[in-house]
Amino acid sequence: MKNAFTLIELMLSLVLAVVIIGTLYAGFRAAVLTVSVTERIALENRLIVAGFIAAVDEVDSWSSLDRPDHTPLRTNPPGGFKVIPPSHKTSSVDNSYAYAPGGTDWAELPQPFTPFTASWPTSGAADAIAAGEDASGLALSGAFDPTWLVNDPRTWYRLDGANWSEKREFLEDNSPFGNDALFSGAQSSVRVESPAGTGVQGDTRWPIAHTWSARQTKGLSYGLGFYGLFSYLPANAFLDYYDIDNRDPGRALVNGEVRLMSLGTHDKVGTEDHLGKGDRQGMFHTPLGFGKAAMYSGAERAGTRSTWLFTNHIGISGYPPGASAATKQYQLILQRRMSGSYGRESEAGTYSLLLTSLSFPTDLVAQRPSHWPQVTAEVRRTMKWQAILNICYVRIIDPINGRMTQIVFPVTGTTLRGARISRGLDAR
Amino acid sequence: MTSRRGAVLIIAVGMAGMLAALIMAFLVRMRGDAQSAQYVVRLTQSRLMLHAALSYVQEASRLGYAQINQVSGLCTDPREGYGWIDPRDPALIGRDAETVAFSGRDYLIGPRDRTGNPLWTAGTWPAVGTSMRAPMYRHVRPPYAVRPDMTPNAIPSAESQPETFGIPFLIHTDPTPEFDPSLGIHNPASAPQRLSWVRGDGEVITGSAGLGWFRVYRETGSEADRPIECGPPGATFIITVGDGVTEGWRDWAEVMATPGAWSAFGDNIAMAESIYEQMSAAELRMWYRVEWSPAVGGNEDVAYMVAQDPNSPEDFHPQMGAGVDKDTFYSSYPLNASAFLSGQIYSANAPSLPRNFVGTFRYIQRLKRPPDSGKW
Repeated sequence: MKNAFTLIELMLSLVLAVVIIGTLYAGFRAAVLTVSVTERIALENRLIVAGFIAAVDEVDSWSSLDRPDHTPLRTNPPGGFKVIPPSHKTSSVDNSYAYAPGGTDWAELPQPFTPFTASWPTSGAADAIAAGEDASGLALSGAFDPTWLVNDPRTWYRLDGANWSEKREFLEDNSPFGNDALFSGAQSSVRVESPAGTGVQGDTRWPIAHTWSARQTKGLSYGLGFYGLFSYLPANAFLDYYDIDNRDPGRALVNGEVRLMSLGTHDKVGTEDHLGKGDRQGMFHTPLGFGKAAMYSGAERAGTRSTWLFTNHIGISGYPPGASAATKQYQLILQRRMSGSYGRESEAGTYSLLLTSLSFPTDLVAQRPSHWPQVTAEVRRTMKWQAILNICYVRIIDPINGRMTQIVFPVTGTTLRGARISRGLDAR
Repeated sequence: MTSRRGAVLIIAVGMAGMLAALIMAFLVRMRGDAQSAQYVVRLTQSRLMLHAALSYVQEASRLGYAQINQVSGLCTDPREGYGWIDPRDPALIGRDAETVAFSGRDYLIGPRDRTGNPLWTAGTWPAVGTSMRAPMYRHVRPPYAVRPDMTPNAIPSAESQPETFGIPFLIHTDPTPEFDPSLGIHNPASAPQRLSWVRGDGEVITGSAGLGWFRVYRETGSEADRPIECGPPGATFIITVGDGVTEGWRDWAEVMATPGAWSAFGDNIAMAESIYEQMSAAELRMWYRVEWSPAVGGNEDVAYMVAQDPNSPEDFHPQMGAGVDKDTFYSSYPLNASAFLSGQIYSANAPSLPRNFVGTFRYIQRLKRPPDSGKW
């Protein structure tokens, strides 16, 4: 009998022991890794949940665009308001910029969270040219009217004033239905064409019968920008009003100067300054997108809010704290741009460009351990296909492996007008 | 030998312990994740209730006022409303004396029927100053349900069916009404089937109740904390949404004001109140103000506007005497007239766009807290 292991037994037992220890080590290591991965996934889950909640909250709060310590969209225009003349283009003079080229006047213009008391003066303007009339056409409007009843004749569309005063070469139907300029407009009177048929303003004034609708539309457009305009207008409102620059008698009238739709650039076929480039701001001349004629004139016929939003898209934009002057200008020019690309380039192209230009992701956990994932949330607010879209983006980026996970979802919530009412910005 | 078996046992126990620890860690983590995601679920349910409430406000502006004979299942009074704010000129329907004024304008508060008669009784919903609540759940079979069958007249393919030579004869109504299956196959002349279709089966599907609710208060305009810029009274509503099981009761006092309502929460009043208060405290509630408008803008005008020359899509504008399809803006092709389509006018000629006949919303406003007036 022997009391000890043989050498072979010892060697085998040693080998087995090593295998067992190795297995245990591997198992333990796997367990530790599994726990780490589980913790990691759990952390990501919690961050995604936080991002989801932040994005949904942003839809209602609008805090990225307006909160007590950050009010990028509450410009206080100096001097009350900036006179925005209707665009004016002749063969020799191109004064078609209703707003400053490149958006350099963003600080002079009201922005979507500017109170109406600052953006919509209710007293006469300094440069009024005659009693009861002012250059902007806003002063007599009595400020924003929240009523807009369907049975109120003041809200009814009175046809297009341009149907009379157009220079004939630009309007092919030659206004066969009458002198519509007398029915409605933002000004209280209009200089009649003289001599008849020339398309040139004379000195004789005729009163305009209805100004309420035109002034409300113009006031909203001026005071809020285009996203705000479309937010405030009823669904069936016509985006069309007559607003002739009657300070300048004796000059030719062109169709580009008389309509809201003409606030932007004139047609530049082939070099259209689509969203994000170019030096002009204003609505594109592709309101309906049905070809060259519509683009050229800002539509030879009027369309409703919904018609515009069928083929066009707009958004609202701000900038984060600490943004550069260039960033501010670039972002705020978007308040007065509208892209509609029918017949020019793919819808997806301009809409994607708009969508990616509107917002900045908010880092929800700015002070975090370096190995923690970054989670961001943002809401991009657009109007497209006749709908108000609040599209939420929640992203989580893992600094260890570079993987990005993005969740995109639309949320119905507080509209711009709702946000402004909550802040008391619509009070008269 | 005994010591070796002990070593194996120790190793096995160690590994089992490790597995158990792992499982526990997973379970604890999963529970934690589930708890943290619970708020997401509640938030989503509440937001769904907002959608439901908005849809209700839109539809109730016109629909839901017809009278149905509950014996015959036939409609005896096909009334419908003209909107929360009547879009008609009050004088034209002889209702000048019933108008209210806002911001210098007179209008009629609705909904009213064709002749201008109010479709509400003073003091009860949907009169201004009243509220309704809508606990949400699924019926086994809702009233007026339609069978979710996309092809009730599919081409027969089984050999046992009569030969139809590949023709889908329209032998079944499309869509097909859903009624009590015990009443046999659909017979449009069957009164019992129609009654069953009208009534539906109101039994609540287990598991669908207690997940969400909404309630709607119709503002009078006299609420102390209501800004005037909110819009005309009668058109604005306070919508409250919740994700819990309180069925939309505002508070326990409101529960007790309705005879027998407390029994939904417990076997006796004290227990029911305690349960209600606990459930109420655990609920996620949100408040919104919305303004309804009779204005609709489903791009209806597109249906009248485009008659393009297929050979020259850019020449869409009218040219006097230029041809049948160029004379006016107001000629249009029929819907889905694919013969006129070209590469550039894909959406112009066949837009089936008119829609939305129940109004729109001017705005949605999330309120930070319940209205100070207590009216909601």
